Amino acid sequence: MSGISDTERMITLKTVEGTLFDVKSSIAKDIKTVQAFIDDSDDDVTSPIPLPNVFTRELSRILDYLNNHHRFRSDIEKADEEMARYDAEFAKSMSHEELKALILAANYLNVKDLLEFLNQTVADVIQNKSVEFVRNFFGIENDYTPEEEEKLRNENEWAFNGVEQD
Amino acid sequence: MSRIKVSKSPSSPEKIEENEDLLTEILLHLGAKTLIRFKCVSKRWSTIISSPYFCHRHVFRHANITKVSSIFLESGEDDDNKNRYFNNHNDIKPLSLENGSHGSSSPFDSIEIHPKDLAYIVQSCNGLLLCRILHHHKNRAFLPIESFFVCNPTTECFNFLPDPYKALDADSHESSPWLYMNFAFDPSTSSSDYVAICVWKFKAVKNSSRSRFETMVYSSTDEAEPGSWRPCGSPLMAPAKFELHNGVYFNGSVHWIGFVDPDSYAKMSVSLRFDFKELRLRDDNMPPLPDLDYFYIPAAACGHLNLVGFSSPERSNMIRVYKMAMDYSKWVLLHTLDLSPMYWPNDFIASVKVLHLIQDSEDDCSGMSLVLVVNYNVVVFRLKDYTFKRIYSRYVPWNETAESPPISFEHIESLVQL
Repeated sequence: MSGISDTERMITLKTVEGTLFDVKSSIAKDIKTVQAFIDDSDDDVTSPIPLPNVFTRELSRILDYLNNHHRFRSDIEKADEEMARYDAEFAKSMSHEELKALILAANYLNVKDLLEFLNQTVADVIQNKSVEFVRNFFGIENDYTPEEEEKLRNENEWAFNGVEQD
Repeated sequence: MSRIKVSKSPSSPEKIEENEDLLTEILLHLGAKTLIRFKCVSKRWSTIISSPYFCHRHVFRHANITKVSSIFLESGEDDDNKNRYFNNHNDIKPLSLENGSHGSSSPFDSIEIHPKDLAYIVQSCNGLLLCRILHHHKNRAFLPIESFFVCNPTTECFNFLPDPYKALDADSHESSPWLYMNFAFDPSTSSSDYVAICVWKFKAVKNSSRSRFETMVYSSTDEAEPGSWRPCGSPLMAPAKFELHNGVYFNGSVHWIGFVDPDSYAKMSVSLRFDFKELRLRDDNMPPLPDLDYFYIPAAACGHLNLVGFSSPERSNMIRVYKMAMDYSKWVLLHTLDLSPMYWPNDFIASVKVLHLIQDSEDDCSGMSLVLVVNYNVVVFRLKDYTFKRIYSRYVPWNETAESPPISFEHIESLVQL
């Protein structure tokens, strides 16, 4: 991975698979886990920073997102509109599996804005969905007995109105 | 570049579930109704969603969401035709403005009410309801004639207010003043604290049409004097016939807007507000009602205190919507409507009653809708494009020929715990 176009300092990140990504230090600032690693190092970081929990697919997506957001922010006038359009496309382009994997990666790397956006995206997916859909989505085992669940459902019957078909 | 073969994470779904902080952050994005439903997902989810810490954060985060999800409609009147009550649990379930289904539980579900007692809603504010029980039950002579509680029908929690009569001194008690109970809950300033205001109206001063109004407040988290009423502000003189019903909380004050002597030539517009910053009742600074021949319902929506004016309580084809200027200087006319049959597709409009005014969507402050009863249908009428949406089709108002407009209470779903 190369393509350095200016003199800004570059940082190299290494994914689980061993893929290397060169990242501008201004972008790395938004990746708090990486920034903390850099801050903790006495010398200039020259060797690749290993990211033992992050896969190539997710890191490449995250860097795409951050690069684009940096670009939008440099043009204040159009920033909000373009960012909203980009974010909508970004959310749409992911499968549920990819979305979940990306949330874990963004959480591990502590990329605040992206994580907030992804959490909202998941919330939008499950907001009007059934309990069964949510268990499926997160892979949760139902630990209620049939009687307990029945009781809970009856007590909150109103909250089950208007649920979308899975 | 060396590449280590690592199998794809086998169970990324479980991992989000395993990370409580991450899961909590995701759940905080969901609405109250969805979260109540998702208590059924697993015991862990139920524990997270029910925890005071989670509810507190949820209320704070959604403090500016003023989405009215449903509406409570009146179902009866007491013998004096003074108080609208709700004595049947089925009647009190709010009507969802989305689809006409019944919304959250009845505010009276979790409270035991003697069959002879009357219970009804007094006021609604940001997800909480103030309710009153009028005790008719004769065997309870030692109890006060009325008691009040604040409840959240979404989470089914409630809190009785301390007896306001006990806070009255003997002399005041002797003159049997009228009691008006109102309250305010503002999640943007405090996510669990509500303040109740009790206004006493004393008998009119001799040879005068004015009365003394005195105020006490009760704060649910008062640290100085927990659990008690505190007198506040100096007494205010105001028209003796003015009643402090249907208070509307907006921007740090509860507002009462109405008429005195509606049937006479002396008909006069009166507005009072209780200012929570200064903790006092005020009669200054409010513009008079725009047209004395109209009836009015005040409602807070779209960042303003608004007023829906209509020509008659039972058949209001002429409707006007105003907003209060932020400096309280005037009512600004926003819409003038003639609800002639052209707006109602299949039927001649026989009757229109105005129930309420709400904001269209939670993140768009620009559009408002009227909630109306048109020919026994509860409909939402969008002021932006003049479209009707029928949400309920068999609504018969309690008193069809009532001289005063029907009363309804908005409901906002909230996880606030009491």
